[in-house]
Amino acid sequence: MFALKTLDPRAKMLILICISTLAMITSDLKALTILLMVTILIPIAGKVNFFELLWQAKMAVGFIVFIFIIQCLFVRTGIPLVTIKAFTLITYDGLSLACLLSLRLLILIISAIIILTGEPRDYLLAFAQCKVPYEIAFMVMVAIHFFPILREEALNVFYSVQLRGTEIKNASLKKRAQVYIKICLPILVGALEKARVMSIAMEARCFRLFPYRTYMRRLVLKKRDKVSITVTLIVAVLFVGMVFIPPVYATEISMPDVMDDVKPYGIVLSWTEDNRNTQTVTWSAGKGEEFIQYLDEGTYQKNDGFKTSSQIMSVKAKRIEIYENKYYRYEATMRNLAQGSTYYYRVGSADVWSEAYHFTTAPQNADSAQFMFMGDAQAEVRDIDYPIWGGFLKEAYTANPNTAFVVMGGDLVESSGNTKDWDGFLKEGESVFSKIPLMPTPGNHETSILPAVYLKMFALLENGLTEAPEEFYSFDYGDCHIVSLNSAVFMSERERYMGSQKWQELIQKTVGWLKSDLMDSDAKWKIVIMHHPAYPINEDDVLYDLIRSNWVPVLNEAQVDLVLCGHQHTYMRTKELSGVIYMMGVSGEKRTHYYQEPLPEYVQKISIEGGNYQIVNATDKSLTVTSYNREHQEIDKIALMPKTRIDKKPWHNALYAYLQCVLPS
Amino acid sequence: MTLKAENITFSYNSKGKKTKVSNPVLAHFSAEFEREQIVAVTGPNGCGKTTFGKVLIGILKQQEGIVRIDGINTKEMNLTQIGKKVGYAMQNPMQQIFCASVTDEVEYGLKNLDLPIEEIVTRRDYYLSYFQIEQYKDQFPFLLSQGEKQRLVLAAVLAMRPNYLILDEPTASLDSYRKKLLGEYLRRIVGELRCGIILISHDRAFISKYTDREINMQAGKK
Repeated sequence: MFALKTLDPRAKMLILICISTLAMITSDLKALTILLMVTILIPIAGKVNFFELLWQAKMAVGFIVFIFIIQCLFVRTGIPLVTIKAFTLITYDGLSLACLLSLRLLILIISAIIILTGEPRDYLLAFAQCKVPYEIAFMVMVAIHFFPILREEALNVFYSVQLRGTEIKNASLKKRAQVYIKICLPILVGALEKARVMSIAMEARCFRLFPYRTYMRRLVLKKRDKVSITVTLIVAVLFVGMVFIPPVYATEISMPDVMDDVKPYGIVLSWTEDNRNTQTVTWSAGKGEEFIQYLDEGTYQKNDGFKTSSQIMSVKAKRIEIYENKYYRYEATMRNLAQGSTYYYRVGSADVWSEAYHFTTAPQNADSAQFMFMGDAQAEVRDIDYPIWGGFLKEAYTANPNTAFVVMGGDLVESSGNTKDWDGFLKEGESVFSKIPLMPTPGNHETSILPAVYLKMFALLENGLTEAPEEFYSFDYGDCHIVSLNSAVFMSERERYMGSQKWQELIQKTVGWLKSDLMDSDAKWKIVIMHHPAYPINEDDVLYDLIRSNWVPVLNEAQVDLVLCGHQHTYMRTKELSGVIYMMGVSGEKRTHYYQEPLPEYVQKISIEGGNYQIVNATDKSLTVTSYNREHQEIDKIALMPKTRIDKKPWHNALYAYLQCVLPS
Repeated sequence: MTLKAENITFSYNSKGKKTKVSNPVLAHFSAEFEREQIVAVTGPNGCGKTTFGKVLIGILKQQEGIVRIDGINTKEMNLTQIGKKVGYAMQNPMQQIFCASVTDEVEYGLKNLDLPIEEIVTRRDYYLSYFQIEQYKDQFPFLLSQGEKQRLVLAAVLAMRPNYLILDEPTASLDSYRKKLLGEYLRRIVGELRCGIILISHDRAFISKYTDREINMQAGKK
């Protein structure tokens, strides 16, 4: 590397402009950290005595520390991080804002060091050669030149004030302010006097005698200067690209090397069509032709399983490439099944079959239905936490054998780009999900911009938005109408990716679809599943507000009975809010978002003791929701009465509203 | 009772780090000033006279050595405490004037000494008239001529009657009559107030006429 001192001043100015502009336009902490490192590296690589210069700027560094502390202490929103006796000292928002501001200031100060390696007259020449009028360039340089002189004068006045008997150190704020005002006076007069004397001196030496100037020296761009300028521009453009065009898969990706001979695993039942006479199965296996074979219960018993090939029905599975040549998921749907009947099935190919499992299709008119809800399962320590969760699921199903299916509220895995995480989840879930269907909803951990890998992993109903297939769907089971909504659609990454206007349109479409879907249903019980809470324990995300303003009015209008969600890693139930009860659950091991701060008034029950699940039991008389903890002890139970819903036809609504006004209640 | 500099080393390049003193302006410089004496500090431009004055008064902090005022190490005193014992008139009077009127300027230090009001008025009027600036007493001090500003600073500093005085080029802008006034006054306070005066100057005539002793900083360097 060459010394920064010898670099063309124009190149240095370009570097400074690029760094400071980038620092101002980014608010991503990761990007700013990288920028700071680059900014530190330039002077070090340029053989500048960096640390000595930084020592001179120690006042500024002190100022940054001050700003950092102030921001930490005075920003009160966000998740509390440090709490002393119910008083929240530092919040997440405060800390991130503090980091942002101090990183920015630090970058600006350090980038100025690059400029300090040059002579002022070189910059004057550089300005002039960049067609800046000489007078202006000269003025700027004089101003910069005068800074140290003014500083020294200010200090001298400051000293004389003290020498003539005014204590500054222990003085009151008012007294100090008076002293500082006193100091300003001689500085100002001195500066004006200097300007006057200087202009006389310059004119006395023929400044601006001729309309144009010539220069003894001209700056010539050497090869290294050109290279530096090019590299700076390229790096700046790349940086902008990196920060503002987010990659599709930002998450860690790690996969097995060969999947050719892998036996089928991670079998999950789900519904993609009518749940009374179809059943879809998805599973993971190596690359090859995979099939599903199935038999009704009677034949299975008679034939002693799949031993004889007669009467076995078979469907070839569709192969879905999660990662090319690395990870495959298979999907097959059994159709024309009899309702309320049990079937046996196995998946695989001629050589390798899974063991035989069985399931039961939905009945035509169930007088009761029971299903299980599980909140966030995601594990921080993959090899320990998924087995714990899997054990919990198994026990829960054993304790409640009448459960017809499981719904999950998102954040199934920690890192959705990582197939090891998926394998942890799918393998642990197989013993239950191969018997009763899993109908999941995506959470923020399934989402980079879209829940892309999640959508490939599961086969779900496509009766929602065509613009976002499988992200929104609904189905009926018995008297229940269940709607699954992808609340991660409100995440800002998606807005940035789609562009604000298109994203707004999409949100409007979700509102429209949700409204027509809920209104069109005659079901006695209307239940909505989404990952993020509409009514949280604390407002640690702006997203909740978007849910409240966009979807909650529809939920109220359609008189939904129950909303199940996750995200804050806590069990929480609200009181009835406009007729709707909101319940939050968690089934995994992650830390709660509740920090003992005062709770919103709508919270009626809360439990932070760890994993839990909900058993929803729907009859025509009531909807009971019972929550159980890790030890399968009841922690909360509610029972809801059916609602007298207004007829969905518009003129009925109007009439109903009119009658409500007219008739005495 | 002396103002004493012991083995002073000072460099503008060391940035407060004691271990690395390069290119020192003062290297192991020692001097002692008694009260009731006028001592001239002389030497060519750039030899460190003003720096020495600033180190004595505590504005600049030496890297090595000790300055003692009446036996007290100046590192243990703040500027206000030093200012009560040692008066200092800078080379450039502009940087020592910070009040809105000539009267205020002279009164400023006196008020800080907690003197009774009659004493303040007496001293103020005395110094304004002695240095012949009383006709400007309500004026904005920045509008005075250079020589008048210098007299104003001398009046403001001398009015505080410190034990020691450090005057940096006090005669630079004075005419011969005002020089004589200053010289006579300095001699008088040496006698009456037992004041010790350090005079940084190039003015040979003034030095030979009024000082008791001369320290040549150049000659002392090896």
